Amino acid sequence: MPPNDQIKQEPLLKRLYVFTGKGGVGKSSLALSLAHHLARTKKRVLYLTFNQPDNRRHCEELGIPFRQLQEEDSAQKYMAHKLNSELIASWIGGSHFFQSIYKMIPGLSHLIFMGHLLSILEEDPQLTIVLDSPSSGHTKVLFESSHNFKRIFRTGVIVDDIENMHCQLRTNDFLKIIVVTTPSLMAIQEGEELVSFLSSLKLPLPGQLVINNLLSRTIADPPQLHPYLKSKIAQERDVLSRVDLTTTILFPHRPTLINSELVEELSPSTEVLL
Amino acid sequence: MRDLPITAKPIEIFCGTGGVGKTTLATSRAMALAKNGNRVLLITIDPAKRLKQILNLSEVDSGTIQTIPLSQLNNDNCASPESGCDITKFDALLMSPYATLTRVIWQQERVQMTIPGGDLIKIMFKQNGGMNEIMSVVEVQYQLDQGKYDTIILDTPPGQHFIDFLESTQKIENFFDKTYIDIFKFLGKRVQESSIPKDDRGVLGLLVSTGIKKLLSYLERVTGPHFVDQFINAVHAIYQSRDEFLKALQFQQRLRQESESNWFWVTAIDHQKMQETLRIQKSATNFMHRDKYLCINKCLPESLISWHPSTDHGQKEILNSVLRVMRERQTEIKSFADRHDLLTVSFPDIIEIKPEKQVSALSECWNK
Repeated sequence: MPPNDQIKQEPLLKRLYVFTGKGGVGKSSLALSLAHHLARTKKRVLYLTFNQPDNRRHCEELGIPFRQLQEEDSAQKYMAHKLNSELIASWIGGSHFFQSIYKMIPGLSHLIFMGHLLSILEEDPQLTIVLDSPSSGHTKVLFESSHNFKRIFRTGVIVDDIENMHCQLRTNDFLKIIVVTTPSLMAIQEGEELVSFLSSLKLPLPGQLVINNLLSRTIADPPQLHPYLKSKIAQERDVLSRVDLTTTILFPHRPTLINSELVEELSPSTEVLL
Repeated sequence: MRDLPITAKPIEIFCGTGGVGKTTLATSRAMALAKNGNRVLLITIDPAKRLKQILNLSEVDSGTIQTIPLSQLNNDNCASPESGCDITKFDALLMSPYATLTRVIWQQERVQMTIPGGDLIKIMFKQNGGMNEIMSVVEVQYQLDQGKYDTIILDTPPGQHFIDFLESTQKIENFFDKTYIDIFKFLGKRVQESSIPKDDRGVLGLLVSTGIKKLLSYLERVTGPHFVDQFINAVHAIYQSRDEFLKALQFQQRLRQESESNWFWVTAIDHQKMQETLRIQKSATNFMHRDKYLCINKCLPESLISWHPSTDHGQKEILNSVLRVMRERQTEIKSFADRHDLLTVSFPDIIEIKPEKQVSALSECWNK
């Protein structure tokens, strides 16, 4: 038997990767790149997102398996399962009463979305899901809603299901949340706030903060550089000097105008996120 | 009070995709208007609340209006009074759905936990409960009715959540739909079982025809009876404030009037989300009027446009592609504005690490 260090270790895949962070930090590019990387290395992967038709187009271009979950269908499927009747579930789901409640209480649709996502993972034990989550404010709603409804329902089959959901999310090597930032104090603080929020829900914490789009990792600053670029780089260094670099993963700025090109370029370097 | 180049309106909305600088520009506008003598309220709807960081507020300030002296943003130290210390200020509010519910809808500062269904309502209206968009419409209409401010500036959440915000009045309207009024009345009466009059056949008839009773019994099988009771009580409590909620419907009309509102679409040179911007703008068309501005944030300095790296530069190739991408994005956004006949306001890229200093520098741009 060869000694362990001679076997090339494949990184252990989690079942679910969630990308989040402040708006505009590059969550979608990184999420698409990771999904692309996994698909290319012959892993069973599914890219999921909320209301992002543009990303759907990129998936088609790049051959990334994706699925658009229809929240209302998810709700009906769940009820049909619990009531043992598709007919009754479709009647309830179609009622104006249910529709208006559902739209008035957005947390409910987040709960059902999460439940549906976990059931897809349960049905296919080889599958990994990459979830391109909305910006951090609404990611909080996504993860908190099950806790809120647990307090609302107190007992019953829904609470049992919610508890199972929490157990699953807290299982070792099940979930990894990737918090993306850019070299600005606003984005980094939002990332840090998100991490402490996740810890309050006892969710697995991202060990590292991703700092994306670093110009200083793309170009050096020789003396003849234009003052605008020089000061941009100096500011980035100032920001980086305020964070603990041992707990960050740095991604350079990649100058391209075409999103699918960016995804293909980024894809191999997303290995570090696994 | 003199006019800024873009005249202040009672409602000013800042919207756009994530990370383009909505909060920063909205705050700079608040500052510029306040300097001009306008009474301004700045409200942030996005649950991420970056405004907190800019204005040095904390989470506990959510839901109560805070007064921000401009000197705080300018970093003035008022050591010498003769230098003319800035005493102008504006008000700011970090949205808290529950605070708006108690202050505006129930009109009481202290929470009345004794109301039936009260604890369920409290959970539903929590900070991350998802009610931010709907309750902010209620809050804005309330502030407009109070008439304390000349201008209310709204910093909205990114992307699809902005559309959720715009659709809020429709959601409120559906929730309090006419056909449900009777049902809610019945549900309310169920709380005091004995009070259902024997001759109230009309309501019961409606109940049988809409199947609400059956629906609730199915619901009970999934959720347990505790929830259904709590839920009925909560819906009843909210229903009793129906009129307060429905006042918010006027907000939608004011958004459509040029005299009442300014729309600021924010975009930034370092972003490549023109497709998403276009799509959101399309979904928002029904809600707005023609008086809208495209704010182009983080514009490149003139001198960079014509700058070329010298030939002895070691990394000429990569530097050239960085420059090409920056310039092309700027050209793309500007030609987009021309094609769609949009009024534009340009803001330079402020290289400044502290967000409050960025705001202060950007506020000057509203005078040009």
